[in-house]
Parts: sequence; C-alpha cells; structure tokens
Amino acid sequence: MAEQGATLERTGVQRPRWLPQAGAKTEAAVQVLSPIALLLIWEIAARAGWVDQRFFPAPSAIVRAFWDAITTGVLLHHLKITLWRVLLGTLIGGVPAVLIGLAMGLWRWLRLTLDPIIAATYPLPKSALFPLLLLIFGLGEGSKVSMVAIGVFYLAVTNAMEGVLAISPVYFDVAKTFGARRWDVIRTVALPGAMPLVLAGLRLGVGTGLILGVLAEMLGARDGLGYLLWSAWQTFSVSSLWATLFVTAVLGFASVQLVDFLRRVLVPWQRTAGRR
Amino acid sequence: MHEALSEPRTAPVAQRDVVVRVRDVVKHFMHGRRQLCALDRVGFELREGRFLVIVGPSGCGKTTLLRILAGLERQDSGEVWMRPSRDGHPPFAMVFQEQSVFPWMTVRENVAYGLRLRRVRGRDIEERAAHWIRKVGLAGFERAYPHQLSGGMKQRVSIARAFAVDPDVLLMDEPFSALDEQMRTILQQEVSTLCEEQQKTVIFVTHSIDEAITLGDEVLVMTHRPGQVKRLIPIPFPRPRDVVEVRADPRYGELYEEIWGLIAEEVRRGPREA
Ligand SMILES: Nc1ncnc2c1ncn2[C@@H]1O[C@H](COP(=O)(O)OP(=O)(O)OP(=O)(O)O)[C@@H](O)[C@H]1O
Ligand SMILES: [Mg+2]
Repeated sequence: MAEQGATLERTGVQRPRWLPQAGAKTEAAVQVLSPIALLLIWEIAARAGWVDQRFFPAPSAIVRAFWDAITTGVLLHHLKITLWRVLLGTLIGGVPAVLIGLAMGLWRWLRLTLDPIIAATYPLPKSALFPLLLLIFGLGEGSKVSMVAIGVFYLAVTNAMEGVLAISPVYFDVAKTFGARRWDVIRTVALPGAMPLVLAGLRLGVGTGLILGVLAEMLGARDGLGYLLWSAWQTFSVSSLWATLFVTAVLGFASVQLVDFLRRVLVPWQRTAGRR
Repeated sequence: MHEALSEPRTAPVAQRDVVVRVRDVVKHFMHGRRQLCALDRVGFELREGRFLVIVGPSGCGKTTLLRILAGLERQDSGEVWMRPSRDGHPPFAMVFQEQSVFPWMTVRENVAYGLRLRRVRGRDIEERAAHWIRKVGLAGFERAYPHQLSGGMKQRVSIARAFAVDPDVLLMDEPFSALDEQMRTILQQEVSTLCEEQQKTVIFVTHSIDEAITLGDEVLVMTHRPGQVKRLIPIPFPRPRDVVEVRADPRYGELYEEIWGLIAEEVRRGPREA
C-alpha cells in the first residue's frame, strides 16, 4: 500500500519527460490536416484518371453538387428531417433507457427480471425489425423514429446498468458510514458514478440510431438523408450521392461531438483519452 | 487470552463513560466452499477520549473488525455497541484503508460530503471544509479532482472528510500508510492532539509499531487468523503527548521490543486454519 502510494505520487501529477509534449494545438492541427490531405490526394487521383470518375468524382465536382443542393435548399430540407428524427428517437429511446438501466443497476430484483429479456433480444439485428415497425406505424414518422429509438435504447440501457455495477463498492460504504439515506446514496454515488458509462452508452447509441434512421429512410420514407441517398442512386447522380454522404457523415460526427460536449459538462472529473 | 479479554472489562469506573464495547465477536467468511474464520471472540472496551491502536499480521481481521463497528458487515455472533450521538447521526467516521475519495467530487466537495448529508448550514460547511483542507496541507487544491492528486494527497482528503464531521469516534484503517514521513508525523500529532483536546475516541489500525506506541493509550495485538486478542498493552506515556519526543523515552524501546516480539511470534506461526 505504502509503495503504491509513493509511486502514484511520482507519476500521477506530471507525465514522464520522454513522452513528447504534444500540445493541444498540434493535436488539433493533425486532426484537421489529415482529412484535408486525403481530399487532396483524391482530387489529384480523380483528375489524373487513376480512379473511375463515374464512381469517385473529384471532390471539386462533389463540392459543386453540394453547393447546388444547398442553394436549392434540398439538402437542408432533408437534413432537417433526419436530424429531427434522430433527435426525437434519441430522446424517446435514450431517456427511458438510462432510467431503466440505472434502476437495473441499483435494484437486483429488477436486474434479474429485465436482464434476460434484454440479453435475449439484443443480438437481433435491429434493422430486421423495420418491416414490423412499418406494419405497426405505417409509412409515417413513427416507423423511422422508433427505429432510431430502438437502436439508442439497447446501448443506453446496458451501459447505464453497467455504469452502476462498475462503481467500486467502497464508495457505497463511504456514503453509508456518513449516514446517507437511500436517495442520498443514489444522488451522490450511483448517479455520478454511473455517468461516464451512461454517456459512453449514449455516444454509441446515437451512432447506431443514426445508422438505423438513415437505413429506415432508404427503405420506407419520402424524405430525409436516407431517402436522398437512395434516390441519388436510382437517378445515378453520383456527385449528389457523394454530397449527401458527406452531409450524413458530418451529421454523425456532429452528433458524437454533441454527446462528447455533454460528457465534458456532466463528467468534468474524468480523465479523457486525449489527456492520458 | 482470557486475561486479556476480561482485564479491561472488570474495571468498574470504566463502565460509565464507555463509548465502544466489543464482546465475543465472531465472524466467518465463505472462501470458495470453505468457511474461513476471520474473527474469533474478539472483545475490548473503550472509554471516552481513549486511543486504541490495533496491530496484527496482515489478514488477521483488523479491517473486518472496523467494518463491523461501522455497520458495514454483520458479526456472526457477539455484541458490538457504540454510544449513539446526540443528533441521531452516525457517532463515528471512518477512514478507509483503500482509495475511497469520490472521483466525481472536487477536494472541497469530498471534504464537505459528510456535512452536506448532515444538512449543516452552508456557511459552516464552507468554513469547516476549508479548515480541514488547510490542516491536511491541501490549501490551493480545493477545486482539484482526485485524478489530479497523488496517492498521498487523496488519502489526506479522506482523512479531512472524516474529521470534518466532528465524530465522537474515529475509525481509522491504516490512514497514514500512503504518506511520506513528514506528513505522517504532522498528521499523527494532529490526531493525537485532537483526541486529547476534544475527547475523541479513536480506533486506529496500523502496521507500524512505532505509530502504535506513539499514538496509542492502549495497543491491541491480534493473533494471526483467526484473529483473536493476543494482548492488550497499556502505553504509559502521558497526554498531551508530543509524537516526536515520546520516541526518545527509554520505555519506548522496551515497548517496541515487546510488541515486535508478539507480532513476530504470530507471523512465524502463520494462520491456523480450521
Ligand atoms: N468480503 C470478504 N469475503 C471473503 N473473505 C473476506 C472478506 N473480507 C475479508 N475476508 C477475509 O478475512 C480475513 C481478514 O481480512 P481483513 O481485511 O480484515 O484483514 P486485515 O487484518 O485488515 O489485513 P491487512 O492488514 O492486510 O489489511 C482475510 O483472510 C480475508 O481474506
Ligand atoms: Mg486491512
């Protein structure tokens, strides 16, 4: 114990000198420059005819298609619809999932009751449910939103539960010895302690929710980014296909960033991977 | 064995201001399919303001005993009693052997934790938290999160957190083992003085014989597993006590040898498994 404490004291505060001192600015620059480099190589390859322009049009052509789609308002229209579906689905799936997951972590009997149900249905590919959802909700918003919600739900619920279970028992002991009542324990130990995994679950859930949402739009919608992608294929407008793909990727990136932002606000005490 | 148990119990004046009473406590754990006896008829009594230090080989049940006293574990048989506090809150605070500082709270929030639960007035919370943060040498780190602290600093946070609630009884499980020599001596003096000035009753587990003699009014030496009371040794040094000066007392060496002999005997013998 004494030895461990002593070594912690030495290594915990400052990083070893031999590690490169990559500043935050350098890290940010690398993150911006690497995609730009990829785009440059692609542009050159397309213009030189190294790749088939029918499938891989030059980025400049994509930008032009992108610009057209923006200025006509088509892209934004569909983006807004997908955004709304993902947001709504995340709320409808995520909020109950986190509450149920936390409760499952806290109460053994609830875990014993629900865990087998979740474990049994979890391996089913969520996309396989879409025909059923179409039957239930029809072609309206319900089928798409519920598809997103289901994707978010599973990841959020299991991670929230694991978040509570992963809390070291000593923290519950500390709360108890200070006379914490049940609600005090939940408020001061279980909730904050589970928060890192709750947000990790949401992060994964939003990603999966977006995938399922776009997929559902391809199969059964008349609007949204998924629909736009599908119709671009059907009309063979490759540049517009790429432009929509780009927007979809940005949407995915942005939603993960949003969750990460939420994490920085809600879990300010966590060492992030970047700083480790 | 039996003299050690009955000796403190028969003192008639002791009965009145007894704060902690442990009698014939037995505790088993399931170790796989075998039963393992951690505590075997352990007993002692502690009057108000007394400082009891428990020493014994690793795995002899010291932590288990403290956890039973703290209500975190239930004994199989025997009696554990602690004088209730006047305000209905737990009459004790515990410093845990392992890292127990909440990672999701700042240093200040950690130290204020017990006070918050006791619904102490906001201004008093701030004052008392600040006071104890200063005492353990963490001024300037109020807003730091535990992952920004060293192991020893974290341990000081948990010490401050226990002291901040001003408990009648302090249960301390090797609280200073992760600290450097200077900080350990400073906090030893702090605990010693606190015990004297405010009549705190302390049960203190340590592996350090030096620490046991320096701090204790009595040193309880435990046997190897199953943990029994091997001997209860009174420490004759008067209070108030200077934790550095007592080491120069000629009786210090004798006590050290006596306790060392008892522990060495147990370590040589090893656990007596059923
Ligand atoms: N929750 C538990 N389940 C099973 N066995 C346990 C449990 N807690 C403690 N034990 C066993 O009880 C015995 C006493 O453990 P305890 O932690 O009280 O020892 P200790 O005297 O505090 O040791 P150390 O000085 O190393 O901290 C050990 O043999 C340990 O393996
Ligand atoms: Mg122990």
